[in-house]
Amino acid sequence: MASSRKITLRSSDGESFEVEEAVAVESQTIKHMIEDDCADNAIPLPNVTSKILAKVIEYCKKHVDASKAEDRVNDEDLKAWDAAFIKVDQVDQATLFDLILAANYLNIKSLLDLTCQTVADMIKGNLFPVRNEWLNFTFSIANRELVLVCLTEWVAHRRLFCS
Amino acid sequence: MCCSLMNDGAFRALDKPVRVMDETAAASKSKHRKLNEEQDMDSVACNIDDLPEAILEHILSFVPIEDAVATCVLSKKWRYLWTSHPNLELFESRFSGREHFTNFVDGVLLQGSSRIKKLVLRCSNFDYASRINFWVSTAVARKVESCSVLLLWIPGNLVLPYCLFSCATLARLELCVLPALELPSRIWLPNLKFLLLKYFKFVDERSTEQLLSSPALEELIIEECNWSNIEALTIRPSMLKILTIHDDHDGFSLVHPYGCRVLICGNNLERILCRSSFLNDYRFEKSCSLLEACINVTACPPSRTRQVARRLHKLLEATCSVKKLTLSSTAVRVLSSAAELCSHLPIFPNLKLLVFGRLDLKHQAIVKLLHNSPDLETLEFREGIQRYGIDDGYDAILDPAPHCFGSHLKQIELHNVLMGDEVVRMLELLLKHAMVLEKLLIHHRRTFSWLGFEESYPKTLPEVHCGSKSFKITILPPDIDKRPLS
Repeated sequence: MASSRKITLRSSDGESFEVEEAVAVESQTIKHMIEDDCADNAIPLPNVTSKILAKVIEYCKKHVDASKAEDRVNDEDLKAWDAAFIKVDQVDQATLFDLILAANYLNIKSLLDLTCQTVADMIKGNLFPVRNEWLNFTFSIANRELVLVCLTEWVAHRRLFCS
Repeated sequence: MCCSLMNDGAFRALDKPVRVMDETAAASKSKHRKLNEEQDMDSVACNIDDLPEAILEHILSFVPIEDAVATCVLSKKWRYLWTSHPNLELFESRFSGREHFTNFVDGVLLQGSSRIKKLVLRCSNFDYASRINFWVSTAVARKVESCSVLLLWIPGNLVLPYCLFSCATLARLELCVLPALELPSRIWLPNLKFLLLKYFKFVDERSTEQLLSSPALEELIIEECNWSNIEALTIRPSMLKILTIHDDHDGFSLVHPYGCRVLICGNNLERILCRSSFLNDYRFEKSCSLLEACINVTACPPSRTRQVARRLHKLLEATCSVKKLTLSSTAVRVLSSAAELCSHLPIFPNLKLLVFGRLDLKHQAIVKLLHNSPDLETLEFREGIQRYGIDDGYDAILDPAPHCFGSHLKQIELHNVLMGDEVVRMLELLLKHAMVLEKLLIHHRRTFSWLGFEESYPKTLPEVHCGSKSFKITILPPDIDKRPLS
């Protein structure tokens, strides 16, 4: 059984990453490619840059390692690791959104849910991502109409959202 | 730019034509694009708006519906994204007033047209049951999969729409409704896997039987329901795995002294969890698939002891193939009071784990069950040890020893223990025959000094004689996951 087979993944900017098969198949897309025998040479991933692919591989490695050990403690540790991995004030928005797109393209449900939940938590707190900042948006009902009121400098840029 | 959410009771759809972009807006948009180019060229998505709609909808699905609706004001792209939100959790308490809540729910249900996965409705003190009727019908029309309705203190009779009870997509239904609910004469829920009924008043036998015998039902929970209108019921949920019955109240004992006869025929039943005063006569067809039974008698006045003992006996006969059995202290007391029933308890050939409330070997039921469980490996007592005086005369209660003590019983676990001489005596009665015991786990009872601090528990046990040569006593803090049974 080729359980420790190495798979090569090539990013859009030509960089190659060698990973264990168990880590690579965290991505359903790659898993299907391997099953369909398209993985003899390197698997090209034209939609994912090397910077993002490195992060995705880091995530998958951690989750594969965690699933090997079976204590309950590991669940909480893993959640803490996930939180640090995706921490909003440390990861810039472009990276966050690229991670979302990559998780979607590569079909890694847990990473997609983690990244989307992160954005959702900010929206729940009335914070909306605009140009690498999280700006406060609130609304009020005035004259029977829902009106957007914003508390930060975004007000000056509100024409960006004009329609 | 603003969106309209009319508050005057009549709801108007949110598709007023959008104001066309004027020149200044177009200019600032191109300025925006230029700013983008100055940013990281490698990035595919610099802004959240660069993400495809499907992903934005996925993000919104993690946001509670009230906050998701708020995003409609952010931009044209976000105007209708919230309408595909699959989980509608509508809690009246989260809104400032009843009118506000009603208008919001009306708006949310009218705007969307896509499938809903989940509808949760929590309201109380509601005057307009017709509105609820409309909301639930809309959810059913949008192919809801999980419907949870909590309605308390609704005056008058409530009628949920009949279409709810023939919804082909419904997989999970939770109804916690105080007023009596009339069920339609034909109930067909082919996909229903989970059903929870709380405070439910069963109105007629036929519809109740149909509902509780749904063909795909895997888990059924019946809590605090009112059975006074029913005399006898036979349900046949063929796929049912877990059945939970909680009947803590006995306010209806005056109406039906013999309660309701409920016969449950489930070939796939694995777990039965019953916490009841057994006013109803719950009977089960004997099933080999059963793995666990938990029988907790909540209250039993002396006048009912015989009746409850008979019912418990039948229950134990039907569940004799389980691997795990839990019996509360009251159940043990009631059963022990009926000596002839107790001496005819069935054998439990597969039983590996036996859980009781209090360790008190004076109760015949405990001794008899120990004798009838030849393969028992673990014995557990959740509510401490009964004191046993020197003159109490039960020294030979376990002579001859039960079969499992000599061959299989490896672990005894005790919770809520307050050590003392009389307690040790009772423990020794149990241990002197335990020949193959490996572990004795003692969880100390929580005690607080008058200062409010938790007292430290003794780390060593006084001398305890045990039949086994190589066993280990471990003293542990209280285990909060394993609460007392009563």
